[in-house]
Amino acid sequence: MKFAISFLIIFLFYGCSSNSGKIRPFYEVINEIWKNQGDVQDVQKKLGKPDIIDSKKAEYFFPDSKVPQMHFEFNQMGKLELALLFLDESKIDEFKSFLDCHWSEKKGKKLIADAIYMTHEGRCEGAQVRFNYFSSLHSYEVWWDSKLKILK
Amino acid sequence: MKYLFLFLTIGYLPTSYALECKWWQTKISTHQVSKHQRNGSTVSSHPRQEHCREKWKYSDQIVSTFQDEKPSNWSAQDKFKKWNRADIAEILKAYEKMPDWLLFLQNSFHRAEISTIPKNPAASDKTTDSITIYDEFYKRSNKEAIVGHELAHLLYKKLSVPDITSFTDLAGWTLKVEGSEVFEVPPSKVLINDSKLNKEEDFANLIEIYFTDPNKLKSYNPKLFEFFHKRYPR
Repeated sequence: MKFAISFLIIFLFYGCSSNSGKIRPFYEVINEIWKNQGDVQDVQKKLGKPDIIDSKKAEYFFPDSKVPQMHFEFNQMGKLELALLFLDESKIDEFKSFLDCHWSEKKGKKLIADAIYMTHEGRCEGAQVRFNYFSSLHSYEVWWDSKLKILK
Repeated sequence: MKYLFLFLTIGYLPTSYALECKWWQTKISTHQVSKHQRNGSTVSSHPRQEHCREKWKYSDQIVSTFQDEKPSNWSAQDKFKKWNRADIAEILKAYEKMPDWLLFLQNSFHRAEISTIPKNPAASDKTTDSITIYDEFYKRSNKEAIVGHELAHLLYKKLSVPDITSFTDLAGWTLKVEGSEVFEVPPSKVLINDSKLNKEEDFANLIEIYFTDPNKLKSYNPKLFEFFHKRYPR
């Protein structure tokens, strides 16, 4: 009987934790903070303690590195006015579908020294969101930017 | 009966034909291979038929990647031209000296006259995994280093994001977010000047040094040397 109860407790614990423990992608979390006009406390509550923090900005590094993975800036009222996420290049289509807007995009190439790189930029016409390919990190810079004009 | 005999005789004659090798291969005549050791086991003496052997290692695999056309969607104004055997042979000679981790990264090799960048011997296009070789390449004595450098650009594409962030920190690069832009700040000291252009050029230069002059890299940046050594054994 004791074993049965223990088994039940373990089963329920893992069952619950596996449901609630589903990790949301960073872009989903940032987009939510953005939409709610969050402040630095909201950012910390959702993403944990930043690696760099002051009254105007918060920054999170990639694990075991000093390279920024997420960057947030706040206005004089303490509300989020700029957010950046370095998004793995394989996730860009997933992100574009998530935001569900009309994307205007441009692809090209550029030559730096003796190498040719891909360029790819896009912006969501109905929101203040844009992205551009950041080749040297195999990632996209995804920006939520209050200064970006909303295109209709 | 006479015809049947003739037919059978011809049919049973050993097939004799002249073995023709490709221009990048050498013909090896029939010979007796003497007893030897291979991968820890003994191979007994045996006859070996006439066959073709590549003059430069990997040639059979990569010779088909030399293309006369320019890479698709080539953006620069370079004038492309057809390959000749002597020019291909120079690349094959350099390619066989490449370490395992730099092999088979390119889809194609192309040939052009002069680069839009003065004195540039070669260029790699990461969007098509192609390498273009210019006339300048054939004036240089460090052909292996040039081929290694171009392949290193394609090797960079295979790096994982954690490897890139480790490389960034170890090589002394910093990423700064200012306004709504990201800036890559190069280390104050670099071994080759154009390393400061971007992190990936720095990576290609450092791999080139690691491959051609490992001690130079070891004394310049021991931690980076270890990072390369762990991933790319020499």
